[in-house]
Amino acid sequence: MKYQNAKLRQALAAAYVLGTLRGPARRRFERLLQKDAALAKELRYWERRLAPLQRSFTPVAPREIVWAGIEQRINAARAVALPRARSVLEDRGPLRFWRGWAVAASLLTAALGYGLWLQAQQAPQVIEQVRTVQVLQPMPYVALLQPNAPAQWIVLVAPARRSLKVSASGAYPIDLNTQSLQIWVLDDAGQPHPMGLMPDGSGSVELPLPEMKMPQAPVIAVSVEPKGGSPTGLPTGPVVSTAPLLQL
Amino acid sequence: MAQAESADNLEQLLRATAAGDAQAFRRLYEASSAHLFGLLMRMLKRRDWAEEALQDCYLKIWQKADTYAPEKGQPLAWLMTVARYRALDLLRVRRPEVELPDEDEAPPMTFADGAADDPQLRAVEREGIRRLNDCMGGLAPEQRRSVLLAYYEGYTHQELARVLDAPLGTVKSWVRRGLQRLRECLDA
Repeated sequence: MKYQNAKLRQALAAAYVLGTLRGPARRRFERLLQKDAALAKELRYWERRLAPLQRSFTPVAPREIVWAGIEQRINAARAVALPRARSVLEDRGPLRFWRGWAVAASLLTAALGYGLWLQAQQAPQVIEQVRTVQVLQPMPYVALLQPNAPAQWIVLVAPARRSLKVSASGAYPIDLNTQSLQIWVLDDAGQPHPMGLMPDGSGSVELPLPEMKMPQAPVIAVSVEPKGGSPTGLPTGPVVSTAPLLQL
Repeated sequence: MAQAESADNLEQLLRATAAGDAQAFRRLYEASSAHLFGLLMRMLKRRDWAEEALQDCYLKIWQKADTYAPEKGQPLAWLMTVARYRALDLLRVRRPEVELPDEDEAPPMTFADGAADDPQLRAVEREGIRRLNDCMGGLAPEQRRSVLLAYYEGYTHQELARVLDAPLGTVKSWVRRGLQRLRECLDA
C-alpha cells in the first residue's frame, strides 16, 4: 500500500481512529506512524476532532478489585523488561488477582519472620544504639523468591551496609558446569542491574551491593546465565523468579 | 457528564504519574476510571472483558504517561483514546454478539449535544463539540449511522453490513464518503 499520497494518508488515519481499519493493516499503520510525521499529524487531527463523541459514553464505576489487579500487574511489569513475554490475553480472570494476593501474603509473612529473626540475632546489642542506627540509616529490604522448583531464596538488601545477602534452600535445577543463576535488581524504569551470582545449591552468600540509589519500588529477579554470569551485563537467559523487595 | 477533576488537574496528575508518583496515579485512576470503564463496557459488552481491558489500559497509562502532550487533546480524551484503541484490539480477538443497540440505550445516533453549553468546558472544546455536531448533521443519514456505529460499537465493515443489512461495498463507501465529507466540513 502506498502511503505517500496525502489523500490516502487522510483516509487511513480516519479509518484508524474510527476503528474500521483492522487486522494487519491496523498494525502496519501503527508501525508507519512511528516514522511518518505527516501520518501522525493526520491521526491527531482525527483524534481531536472526534473526541467530542466520547462524551456519550456513560461513566460506569469499576469494581474495587480491578485496582488491586492493576497494582499487582504494575509490579509484575517491572520484570517484563526481562525476556519473558507473557500475553495478557492468556492469563486472565480472578485467579490472577488471588494468585497475586497469595504471593504478597506469603512474602509479607516471610518478611516478618526474617525481621524477627534479625532482631533475635541482634538481641545482645545495646537497644539504644540499634534504635539510633535505624533512624539514621535506611531500613533493609527483603524478598522471598519461589521459583518453580524445590528451591527457595530469601534476599536481604541492606543499602546502608552496601550488602546483599542471599540464603538458598533447595537447589534449582541447572547444569552447574555450564550455567549460573544471576541476581538482578530492577529499578523503577524496569532496568535490570547485575548483583552477582547465587550460591550453587543450598547455603548463603553475601555480595557487595553496587553503588546505586535504591529505587522507590525495587524488584529482585533471578535469571539463568552462562557459567560465571551474563556476558553482556543484561539478562540473556530465562528469568526464573521475580519478587518485589519490601522495605522492613 | 460531570467531571470531578478539572482538565488542568488531570494534566498535573498525568505529569506526576509520568515521574513515577504512585499516589498521583491512584488519584488519576479515581478521577478517570469510570469514564474509561463506561466506554469499555459499551464496546466490549462483557464485564469480565471490560475489567481486564481496564487493567491493560492503566498499565499502559502508568508506563506511557510521559508520552501525553497537551497537543494530543484534553487529558481525559487522551485517556479514553487509550481505552478505545484497546477495545478495538480486543474486539479483533473476541467479539460479543453483533446487533443493533437497543433504542433505549444511550442512542449512538446522536451525541451529547447539550455538552456544547457546559460552562465547565474550555471555549475551544465547546466550539469543537458544536462544530462536530453541525458537521455530523450535514452527513447523509446512512453515512452518519455507519460512522457512529463504527465509533461507538467498534463494528467492522462486515459487521456494519450485517446490522445495516446492506452490501459490503455500499457500507464501505458510506463510511469512506462520510469521513471525507466530515473532514471537508470540519476544515471549512
